[in-house]
Amino acid sequence: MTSLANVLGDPKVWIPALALLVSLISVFLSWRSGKIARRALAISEGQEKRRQPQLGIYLANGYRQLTSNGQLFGFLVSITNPTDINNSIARAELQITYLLEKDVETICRLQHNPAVGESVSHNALQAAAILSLPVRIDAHQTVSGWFLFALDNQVIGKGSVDSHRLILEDTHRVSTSSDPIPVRQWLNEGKMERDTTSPSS
Amino acid sequence: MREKWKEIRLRHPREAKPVKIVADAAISTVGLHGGRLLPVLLLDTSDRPDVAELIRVHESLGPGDVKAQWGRLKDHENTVALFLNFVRPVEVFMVLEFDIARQGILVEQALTGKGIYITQAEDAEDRLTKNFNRTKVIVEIGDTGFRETWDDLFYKHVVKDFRNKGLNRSDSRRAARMAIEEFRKFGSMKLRDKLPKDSGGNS
Repeated sequence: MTSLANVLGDPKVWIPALALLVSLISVFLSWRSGKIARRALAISEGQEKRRQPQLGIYLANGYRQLTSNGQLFGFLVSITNPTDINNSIARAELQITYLLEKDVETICRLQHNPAVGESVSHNALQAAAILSLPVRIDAHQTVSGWFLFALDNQVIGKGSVDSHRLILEDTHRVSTSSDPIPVRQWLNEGKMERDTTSPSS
Repeated sequence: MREKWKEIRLRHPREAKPVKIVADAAISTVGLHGGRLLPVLLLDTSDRPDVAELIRVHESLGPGDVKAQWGRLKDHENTVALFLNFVRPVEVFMVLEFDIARQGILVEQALTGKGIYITQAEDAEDRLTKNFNRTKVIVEIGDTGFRETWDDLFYKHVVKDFRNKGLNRSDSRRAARMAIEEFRKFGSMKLRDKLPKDSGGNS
């Protein structure tokens, strides 16, 4: 007991011990503030990321209709803006990959053409509006509608279509592309009925 | 200007090889591109079916977008290259390479006219006059900051060319300056837009 009192009473012992304690506390505090700073950085990076323009494309349906001089394509899409900034779609294109002789791959782009809607008689088109560009999409909003494209037979000539992809370009010239799109044949209602009844007759 | 080297990502190995220029000419059209005189390049597309397709499709789909960049190919000392990245209506990348001394006038004219025409050569001996109405694609080349570098390169190579032809140093320099001046005088020619005769000449 006496020796403990001597030790505590001796400044040569308790001053370094106190200094050690203070330094340990400051290490703990700096570790904790470092942790808080890292979390704050992650949050502000996340916020900054949400301020980067970005669009999401969800493809609900893709159709194709053959005409006498080409093909018409219709894509029913939902476009989302998950970011914190307002945006708009400035351009919508259908990227068609087609193969020439000796399997030479060529890529062409068609522009969205709302006037194509007049040539499509299918009821599916009434499910949503045909989008007219530019389309405004505010932060955290979604728009939905049809993108329509006309491909003239002369464009791909003797080439065979390999794949389709939808590309949207926003106000900031950032492009978003969909995965390759499978398309279904778009038939008029009367033709559809005949098609479905014929196997049983 | 300090040289900056950049690697270009290609979709296909054939895109790395410059497209051969079979022949060239120059056209100035009233009402098109300000009536400026633009070089016409007849390209050998035998190894580049995608370039042939680009020219063909342009006829059906009309104007598109292209990104143009002047530069040089690595280890090609006496040439400059024009890197063309077509985005619409057809996605094609191509390189056009110009020998500075021999084809410098084409580069000079492309920079002055801010554009070029490309078209497909039918064979190795083809000339524009053999079929003037063939499909031509106009490529607009904006200011890419290349002019200063080009002026220096062009002068040095023309001087070198005159030296190789036997002129002494001072005569080569003088001849190079005169030749470039003449090229530029010829290249600055423009066909002015004219009002139709029945418009009465007002407004």
